[in-house]
Amino acid sequence: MSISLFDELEKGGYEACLMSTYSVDFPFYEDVLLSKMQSRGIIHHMLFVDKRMCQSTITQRPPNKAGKQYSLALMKCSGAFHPKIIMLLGKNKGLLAVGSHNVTFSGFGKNIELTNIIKFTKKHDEQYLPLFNTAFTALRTWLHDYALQPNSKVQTALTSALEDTLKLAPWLKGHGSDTTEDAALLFSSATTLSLWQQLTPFIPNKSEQIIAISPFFDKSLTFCKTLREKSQSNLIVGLQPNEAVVSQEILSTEGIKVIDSDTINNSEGGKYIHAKAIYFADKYSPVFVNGSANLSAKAWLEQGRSANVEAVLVRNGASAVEVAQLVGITA
Amino acid sequence: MNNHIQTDWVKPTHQIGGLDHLGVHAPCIDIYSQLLPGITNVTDRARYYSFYPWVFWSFQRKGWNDKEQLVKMFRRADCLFTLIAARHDLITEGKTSYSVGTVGKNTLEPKLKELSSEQSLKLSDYAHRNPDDASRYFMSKFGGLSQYYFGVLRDLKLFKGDSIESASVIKETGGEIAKAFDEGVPTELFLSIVENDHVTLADLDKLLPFSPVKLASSNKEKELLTKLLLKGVSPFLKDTSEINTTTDLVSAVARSKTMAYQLLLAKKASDYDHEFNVSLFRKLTYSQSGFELDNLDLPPSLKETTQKWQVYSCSEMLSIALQGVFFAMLQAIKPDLALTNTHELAEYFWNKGVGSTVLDSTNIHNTKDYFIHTFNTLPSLNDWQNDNHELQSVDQILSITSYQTGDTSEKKLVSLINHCLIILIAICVREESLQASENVPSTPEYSSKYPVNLRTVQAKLNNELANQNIVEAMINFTQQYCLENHWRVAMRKLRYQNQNTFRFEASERGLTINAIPSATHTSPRFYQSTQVMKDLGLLSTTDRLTTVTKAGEQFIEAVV
Repeated sequence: MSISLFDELEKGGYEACLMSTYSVDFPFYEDVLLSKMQSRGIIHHMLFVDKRMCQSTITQRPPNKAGKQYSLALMKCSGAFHPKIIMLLGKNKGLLAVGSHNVTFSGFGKNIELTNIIKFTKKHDEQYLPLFNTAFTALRTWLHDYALQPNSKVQTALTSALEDTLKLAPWLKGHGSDTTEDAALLFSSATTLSLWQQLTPFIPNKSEQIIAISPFFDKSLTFCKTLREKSQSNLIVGLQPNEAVVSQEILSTEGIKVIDSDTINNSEGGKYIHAKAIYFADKYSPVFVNGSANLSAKAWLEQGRSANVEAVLVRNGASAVEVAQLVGITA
Repeated sequence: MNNHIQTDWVKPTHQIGGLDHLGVHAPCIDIYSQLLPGITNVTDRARYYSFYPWVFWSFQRKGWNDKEQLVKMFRRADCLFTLIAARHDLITEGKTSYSVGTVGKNTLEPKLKELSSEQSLKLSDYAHRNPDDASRYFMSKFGGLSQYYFGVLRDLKLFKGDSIESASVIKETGGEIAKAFDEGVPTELFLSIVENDHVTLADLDKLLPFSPVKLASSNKEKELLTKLLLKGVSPFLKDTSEINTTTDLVSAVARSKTMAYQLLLAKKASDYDHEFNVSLFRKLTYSQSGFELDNLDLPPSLKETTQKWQVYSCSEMLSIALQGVFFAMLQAIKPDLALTNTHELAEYFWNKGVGSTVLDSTNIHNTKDYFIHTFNTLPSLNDWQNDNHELQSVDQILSITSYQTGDTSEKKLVSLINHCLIILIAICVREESLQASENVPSTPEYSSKYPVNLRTVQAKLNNELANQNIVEAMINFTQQYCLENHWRVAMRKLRYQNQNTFRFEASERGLTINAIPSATHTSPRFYQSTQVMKDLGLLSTTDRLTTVTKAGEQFIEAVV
């Protein structure tokens, strides 16, 4: 069982799509995703993209439909604008995806990525409505914190485009950041606590074991060392030896055991593992976290304007154990 | 776990080999589809044009109208037809291949070879539809009709109906052809075998009049089929007919002129004791010249057809050249180069890679001058047998990029790029190629559908990049027309078919290769049209030579 992001976009019944991403391939977004969604009746589109990444791609593969068929929100951050969220919104239903997938072909169909799909149907499945409200709040917060020119025409137009979404999905409150019984959506921004500060209340003070995978790490392994302090046994870090951007020091750091993440995914090998996840294995308070945040200090520990902007989904209790077993990230 | 939060790995898209990775086959296919309507790349035998209408016509007379019974009996009849053709091969001791192009031959022929004169073969053992049983002769519900022929026979107005289940033979056309077929075959025996489900070798011998090649001796049937391909359905219809013949007439004119054109080229080939095959067809068509550098001197009434086939040939040449460049450029992608986008790849290729070796050999830097300089070293268009002619470059490109014989040493890749440039230059500089492109539509719809075509490539290289440094021009041209163009084509397939046909990708790891495709020709229905003409007795083959028969001469006369 796996999740086809293409299939989800094609299911129909939605009228708006909001996406956030670090890197973007405009021909892929415009000619594949946007076209597919438009053919399914999705008329209102917004794309939130890291400004630096956008500039690096714009000369080679520029957007042709931005401003005409969708609103392009360039997010200017000192760190990286890194969250990968998809919100499909309709009059009576919604779909929220929070994962590691950028809006590129690699992210949607080639890399090994991990995601969470949350569905809402009005009057039937409203249990996870708070997660949708949190996601919308995140987009609104990011637009406020990182849009290019505060109070400019562009800013006003983007704000207006985002608020218009609420008319297409009136069930969305558009504010608040509540959690549910077994899941919470955490996001970081210039005006929020760090991701780690937000996660801390969910996790045990000392987990029996922590297992994590990531393709990127901070140079000093600060975050890995922070994680290690939360584990009763060695922190297990899964990475691809030939691909991971990581200091060699990780191999000799006390309390950290490195494994080849290809053995976790059970894929045929050769594919790039871009997924990021942490499993706090614990008999009493298991927690599974995955989303956009790599095992780096910028992603998890820093706060304010210098930090990365991230979004992760936290699962706790029995569902955390089930997810960890399902994806193979287990003790 | 709650069903409304699903956490899992993202499913990768289905990766397939795919075809036409640069969208350069498509304009070629568009041209030959217009020039040969009614014959396709899968309609191999003329006799199916009369056999399938006859099956429906005779089943109706027999009262086999129930849908389930129709499928069951149809599949047995389809099998039996193939068995008859295969038996015809066997009794001529394999000297000829009468059964070529018959449906399910690969499954049925070995079973027939095992059959002794005392045994019988049960048709339903092969005509069944069980997908788990390898003995099934053919997957498609109505065998060769649904897989290959129905669309064509409906376009030719022998059948009507949206689907085969609801189809019926049109009385004035398909009905007349069915009757003519019926006159020359042992109908009752065929139908009784279909009904009883068993056939012996002796039965098959009695049924030989059904063999595809027996069309040649079934005069009325042959005459009607020839008339159909020559003039369409108009001659079959009475004034009161409700069948609209306008589009049919246009198709008939295009088809018959192409058939006459091919017959005339076949004559040229046989006059010079040369095998008439698709390779020669392409060469004669591209050069419009014979074996002694002579003009083909075709009748004026075939001028438009000739021009369109020349556009096809030029488009094919362009297609091969671009595929060759694409092949060579993808070979340059290596992890240690850490190339991240198509511009970097194109720059590397022409500044430091294989392309730089090719272009270093000249001091001429302006694209226009480089093209003219190189063009002046090429033989004239009519000298197509010359080793330096661009037509020979096509063969070289196909060979170098072939999986079987492919050699990707730097020396070979340099040679490959040289051949590709020769073709591109010939296409951009030869007067005949420039004239050919005038027949390429310039409408926005056409350009949107086929952005890489003769006209756009000539405009790019002859106008936009003409005054640029040749290296810069090649970087620009190949990045846009090969690399980015491939991504455009693959994106389109991803959008419409959810299939990954990317031959190379840009990812977090930079540019990576999935697979490097060989250069390939399109198949301009040449084999099928010449086989149909052989079945109709317009062409005959002895040893390797194909000659035009008296009937073929009459066909030409009727057209021109």
